[in-house]
Amino acid sequence: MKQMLNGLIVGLLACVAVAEQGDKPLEIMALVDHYDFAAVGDPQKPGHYLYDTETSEGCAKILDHVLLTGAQTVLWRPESGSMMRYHSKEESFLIRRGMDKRRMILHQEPVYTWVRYGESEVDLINYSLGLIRERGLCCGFHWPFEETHWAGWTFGPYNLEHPQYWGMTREGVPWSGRTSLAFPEAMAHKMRVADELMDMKPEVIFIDTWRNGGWSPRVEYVKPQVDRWKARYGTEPPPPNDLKWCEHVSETIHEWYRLMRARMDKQNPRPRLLVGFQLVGRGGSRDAVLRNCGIDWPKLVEDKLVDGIVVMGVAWDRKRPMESTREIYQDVMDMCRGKCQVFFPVQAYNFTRVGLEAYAGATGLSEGKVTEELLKITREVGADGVVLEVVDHENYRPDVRKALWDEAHRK
Amino acid sequence: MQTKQMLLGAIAVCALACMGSAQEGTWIQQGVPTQLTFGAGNDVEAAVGPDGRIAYENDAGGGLEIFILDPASGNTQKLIGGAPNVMAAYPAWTPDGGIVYALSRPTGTAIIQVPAGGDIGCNLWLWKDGAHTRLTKGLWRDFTPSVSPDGKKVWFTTSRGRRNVGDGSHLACLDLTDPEHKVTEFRNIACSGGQAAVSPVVSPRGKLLLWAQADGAFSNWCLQLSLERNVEKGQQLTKPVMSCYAPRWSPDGRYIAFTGFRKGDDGWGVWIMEPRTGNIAKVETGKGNAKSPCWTPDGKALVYENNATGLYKLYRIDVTLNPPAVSADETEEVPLEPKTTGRLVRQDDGSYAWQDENGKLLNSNELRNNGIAFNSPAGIDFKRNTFFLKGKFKINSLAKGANAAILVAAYYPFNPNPAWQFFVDGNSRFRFSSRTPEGQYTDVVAQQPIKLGVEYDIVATHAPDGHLSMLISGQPRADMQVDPPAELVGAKLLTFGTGINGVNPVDGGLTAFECGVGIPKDFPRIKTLKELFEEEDK
Repeated sequence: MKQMLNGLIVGLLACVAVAEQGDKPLEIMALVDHYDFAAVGDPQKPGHYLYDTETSEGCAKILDHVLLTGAQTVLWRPESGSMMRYHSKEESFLIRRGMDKRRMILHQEPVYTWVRYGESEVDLINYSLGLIRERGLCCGFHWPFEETHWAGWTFGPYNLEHPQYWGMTREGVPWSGRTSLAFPEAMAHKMRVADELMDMKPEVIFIDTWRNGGWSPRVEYVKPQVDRWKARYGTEPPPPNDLKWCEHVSETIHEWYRLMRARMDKQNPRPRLLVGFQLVGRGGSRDAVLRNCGIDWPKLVEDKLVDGIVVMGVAWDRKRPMESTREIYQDVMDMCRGKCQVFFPVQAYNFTRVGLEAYAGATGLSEGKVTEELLKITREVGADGVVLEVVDHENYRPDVRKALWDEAHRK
Repeated sequence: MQTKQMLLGAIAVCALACMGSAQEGTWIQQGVPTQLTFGAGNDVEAAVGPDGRIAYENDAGGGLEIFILDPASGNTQKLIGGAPNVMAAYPAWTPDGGIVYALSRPTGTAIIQVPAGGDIGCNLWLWKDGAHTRLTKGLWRDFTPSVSPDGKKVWFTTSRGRRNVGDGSHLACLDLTDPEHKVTEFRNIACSGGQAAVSPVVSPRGKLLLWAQADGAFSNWCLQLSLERNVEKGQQLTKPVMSCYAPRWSPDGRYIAFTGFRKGDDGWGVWIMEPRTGNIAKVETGKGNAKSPCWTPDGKALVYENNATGLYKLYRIDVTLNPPAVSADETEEVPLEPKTTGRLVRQDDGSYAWQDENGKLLNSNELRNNGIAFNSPAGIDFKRNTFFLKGKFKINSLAKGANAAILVAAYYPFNPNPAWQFFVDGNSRFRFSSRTPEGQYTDVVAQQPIKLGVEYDIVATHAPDGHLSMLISGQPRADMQVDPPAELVGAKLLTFGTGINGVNPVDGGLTAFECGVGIPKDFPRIKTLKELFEEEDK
């Protein structure tokens, strides 16, 4: 009886907490990359472009467009692969040589391949963060944790100059996609990049583990990682789909977050550290995220190394789109409630086939109505906000923007 | 050259020499590295001319400048550059002492320059007798030039015509004897998205073309070889287990020096290969990255860049080569005799059945969206062998916004997704995908979009050496060098017209299909290395 009573009290308290959260508008967190606006044509002047993404004026215009979503938090992308969008010292060596043959020098697409963000008159990222702050909004970074954005031309100088830190397959084939954090030098490099970002005083740093250039524990058979395995287990490392190997690798990544947390704690004011991943299913998909991204996300939450979890897409059931979405959200909330913030997706991108377009197809609802439903579920499960991956020119349609705007301005 | 600098250089060289003596078991006898350049900035991409002078890039001024060093006197001469926005790169000597180089002079922002037709591309120029002559012009990138031994052609890499994000660069050749400097492109090389071919260089006898190629952003650079007069998919000289680029022939054509990295190395290194035997060895250059080797005219030394001092500087090292007399790789694989192991057959009632090599028929099940499926089909367990897929197809229409229309897909227990498939992507390009032993997706993409309502013949293969190949009638052959195929055993499902559960349907599809092991006899064969060198020796 006493137990039942206690349970009832706990339940009531939880309801109150959710209700209190439910009264507050959700935090609408927009991700933005000015490069995505570089080739948007001007419908009034064929052959001309709407945004000069290499100028401060262009970035201000982009921000105006992004804010049509009602976003209160805007996270700008500081790099793609390891091609910096700001004036980086850490990745500056030969950065101006757009013709480095090791980058494969891709295509001749007008505008995209000819932008030179490293040489802009003002540091575009620093400027954009300042602009967001001026407007009374929360500013920060959407940091893809990658050294190539799935294409050779996005490799940065550090990666190209340090093959000895590249990943390695179990068969001993070097993998240039990302240097391994198991090497202290590579970890120090990443921390220097983090320092450059923190110098710009962001209020949020969101590390996107989905954008990782194809990295996974599959390419972590580097010497320090293998030596550590052998010392611990006395055997050769198992295949990459072995969960024990993925857990082993995740310890290194966990250490990176520990360092990052410690570094950010020294910052005043202290920014929020968020971590995000894709295609979460029932139960939070801890093992799948571990296999794909090499992080043990529930452990990050338990160890309080992150301030928030960003679920960028959920593996909802096409036969029960909204019901299954609610169940997945609830599972994640059960793992995170009281420990960290949680953000769920309102995803215009549909490359994972679980975005707004897919919901609309499965439910017969408009994308605007789908957005309203997703916001409602997000509120009802007691989450903190939604993430918009990624706000490009007009990819969040007017009815979707209205639903988001109404939520952001809900009294 | 100042004496003090030379002295410091000599001390640095001694330090390098202590680590750089010839290793037992290698076939390279090497001397002491000598530092050739000093001062501010990085000195890279050296090219040694016919008279021994060295052209190279320097970035001290913010942009890229080209200098010429006379090693005999130590004097340097600026060839071009100076303004921070000027990028002059990749010098290559002509036999008569001229220099071809790549030049880019970007100004303003892209959205202003591109519509205005601004001269912001990277194009080729020729410096000769003190004059600079433009060789190419356009909003693309032409780079990594080399001049043929007869001085009549410039081989280079170009991005022209590559419009999709993900497309790499391909090879091209400029006729120096033509007043219009006619350019011939070789889009059949590195034609799929993500592939790139750079640093083409003709052998001293003028018959072979050598270059570095990357097949996708996640592959490693490999050296490739083809005939110069008929450039086709190259034979791989090096395997992806090593990253190799920037190849240069020795003056006698017997060796190739290149930049390489493999497991266990401390960084980039200078390597030498004897391509006829496969013999390969590393030049010991001491600390730091060592890259971009080129030969002196007598073939007795290499000039390369090394960053042991913190900046890349040029060094020279004497090499004497005594490779083992016996080929390091004598084993030649015996090609598997091609055999059809399964085919799609139309029955009298109009339905389709799957026929295995013993003639046994398996009836189909219907899938959503007009697809059909065969459960546990015999004849597609290719194990680890080379396998081929062959058929005829026609596409009637492509749904707007669809990113895949599947013609055939095969499923095995090791992965929930298709182990191999034919499909048409959102850009109307035909793709053949296959998985690696680790379940990784790989594919080869047709160079041109398919036309609706037209029937095509298609043949595709995946070999244990990782060679993915596809030939569609009326289109250039497409090749990718990836990982070997997965072990294909215990086939669960074969679908036609859609994927599993009717996903990604196609309007149209395969009208004939067969598959099997080996490479079909009528599939165009690539010349073997042995055949290439026989041509060279003629």
